[in-house]
This record gives sequence, structure tokens and C-alpha cells, in this order.
Amino acid sequence: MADQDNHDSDSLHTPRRRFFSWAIGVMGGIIGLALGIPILGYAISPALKREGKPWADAGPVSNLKTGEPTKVEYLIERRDGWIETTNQHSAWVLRGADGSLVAYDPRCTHLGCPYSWDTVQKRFFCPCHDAVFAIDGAVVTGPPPRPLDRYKVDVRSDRVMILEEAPNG
Amino acid sequence: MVDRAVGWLDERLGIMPILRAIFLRKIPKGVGWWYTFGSATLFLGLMQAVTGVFLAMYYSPTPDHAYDSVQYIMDEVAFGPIVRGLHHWGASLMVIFVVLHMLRTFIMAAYKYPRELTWLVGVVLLLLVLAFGFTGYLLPWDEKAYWATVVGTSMAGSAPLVGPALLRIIRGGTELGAVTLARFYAAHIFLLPFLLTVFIGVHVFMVIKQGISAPPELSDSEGSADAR
Repeated sequence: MADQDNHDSDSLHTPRRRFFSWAIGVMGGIIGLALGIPILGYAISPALKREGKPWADAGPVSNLKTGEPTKVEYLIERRDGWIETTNQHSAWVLRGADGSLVAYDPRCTHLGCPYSWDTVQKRFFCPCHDAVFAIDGAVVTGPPPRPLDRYKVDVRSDRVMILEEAPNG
Repeated sequence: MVDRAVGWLDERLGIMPILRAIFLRKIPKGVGWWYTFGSATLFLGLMQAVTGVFLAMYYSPTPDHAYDSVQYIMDEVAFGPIVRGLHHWGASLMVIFVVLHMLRTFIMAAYKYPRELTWLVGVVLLLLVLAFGFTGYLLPWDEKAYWATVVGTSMAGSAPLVGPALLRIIRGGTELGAVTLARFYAAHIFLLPFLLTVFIGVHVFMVIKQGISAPPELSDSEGSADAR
């Protein structure tokens, strides 16, 4: 009988027990949220970080050839979580006759091999899969899907400065 | 809606008797707040497990990086100090509550027949909780952690006959170092949680199966019957 059901000592459906079940559920939910939201933020936060990179000193401007790319080297400090390392990076910097600078990412746009400048044939050549790029970075032949990527480059106090980010525009 | 989910499971697995045994179990007259310490300890243990899992996402258990990784949690991770703080203070609370629970059980003589085994398993659980505290204490690898572990393991080393061997086994060598840190971490996140889960399972099963023992009577009547 329905009446029996509401008074059976084994039943969950007496008014008092329904209220306490509900109240426990609500309190549990509040505790769950109070713990769960910070913990979730904690777990996700590194994925949402954007680390600003500093400009790197790549040597004196006088080192740069004009009309031909020069390979420059510079130190980059890297923070991997709590580990700090200093690594040497390189880039190809081309100074035009008008003094304008272009810096190329030294990794071939096909699969990332380091390419080099062929001074005889006046072109960039990647030995991994025979890719050829022109002096302006355009793909002449081979598998690369796009021209050479560029870094931001600047001159400050007669020093070549490199920032490993794509230039705007 | 929870009702419907439970009903769905019950139709397939017949879980209602189990849920009734847990949530609708009879308890004796006269129980009060003193009887909440066991559940409080379990809740703290669960919280330690959850915060511990998330701390382990950033902690690095080698002498080179342990300290820096904890600083990373404190300075760089969102809510890092909160999660670490919960784990740090939760550890102390857990020891306090497990001792309170043990005292309550002892004072009310709830360890007597037929609950002797529950008490013995409880002793094992107490030792496991202390082992958790000892192994976890080393992990930040700061001065306090290092020297406290030197002292603690030296105490083990002072035991007669087996002391020196025990010290070398626990430290993983004669000195405290990378091997010590690695094995303390393995114990803290792997071995001890596994053992704790097994023994908690046995302990809680027996408590539910046998029922809560009635509070002792102050008068000299024939004694109260347990609720069963």
C-alpha cells in the first residue's frame, strides 16, 4: 500500500528522508564545486598560458653581408615549466642593398631540416628532400608546401636583434 | 533524477540491497557526533587522494627539480597554493582525525567481540596513514624535508639487530639522495594508496556488516544491545 511505503522503516521516501537526501546532495554539490573549480583551473592553466619571448642579440650589424644571406647565432633562454635551459639557435639574415633586413627561420618548411645557402648557385638548398628556395624564400623546387618562414628582426645599437615570431603584415 | 538512475542500475544489477545496507542501515540509539570521526577520516583521505593526483601533474621527484617544481606549483599554476595547501593541511587533519576516531573506539570499547578484526585492520590503517605522512614529507626536498627524513631514518637505524639494514633499505643506500626520493615517491603515490584502498575496503565492509556498536551504558544494567 502506498501509505505503508511511506512509513516502512526501509523506505527512502518518507518526507524527512527525502529532505535529508536532498540536503546532503546539495551540500555535496557545493563542496564538489568548491573543490572542483579550483582543481580544474589548476589542471588546465598551463594550456592557457602565453609566454612572452624576449628579443635575442644576434651579433653586430657589421657581420651581415649585403645581398647575400648571413647565418647568425644567438642564445635563447627557454623555460620548460620549472626547468630553465639556454640553447643556441640560428637564423638566416638577408640585408638588402637598401639596408632592409629579412630574417628566415632556419628550418625547411617541408619537415624542419636545417637548410643552407649555396653561394655558388645563389639559392637555399635543403639536403633532406632536395628542396630549393630562392633568396626571397620562395619555393623553387621540391616538396615544401610554403615559402621560408620569417622571424622578426631589428637593429638596436648596431646589434642585430631576432624575435622568433612571424612578422606582422 | 538520481532515483531514476539508481532504478536503471537496480533493474540490471540488483544494487538496491547493497545501497540499502549502506545508506539505510540501522544504528543504535544514543550515537552522536563522536561517531562521525571515521567518516570524516575517510572524506579527508579521499580529498588527499584527489589533491595528490593533481599535485602529481606538476611535481618532479628528482633532487634536481623537486624543489623547483613545488615552487612552480606555488607561483605559476592557477590555484596552485590552494591545491597544495589542501594537501598539506589535509595531511595533518587526517592524522588528527584518525587518532580521534581510534580514541573514540577505544574509550567506548567498540573493539571488543565481535569487532576485534575491525580494530586490528584499523591499527594497520593508522600505520599506513603515518607512512603516508612520512613519505610525503620528504617530497618538497627542502631543508626541513631532508633533515627530518635523515632523523626519521636514523631512528629506524637505531633498532637492535635489524636497524642498520633497515636504514639502508629505507634510504636506498647509506645516504639520503635521489634513490631515497624516488622510492619515497613510489611508496607515496603507488604502494601506500594501493594498500590503503584494500584495508579501507575491508574495514568499512566489516563495519557495515556488523553494524555500529551501541554506546556504552553508564548505569550497571545488563548492557545495551547492538543495533543489527
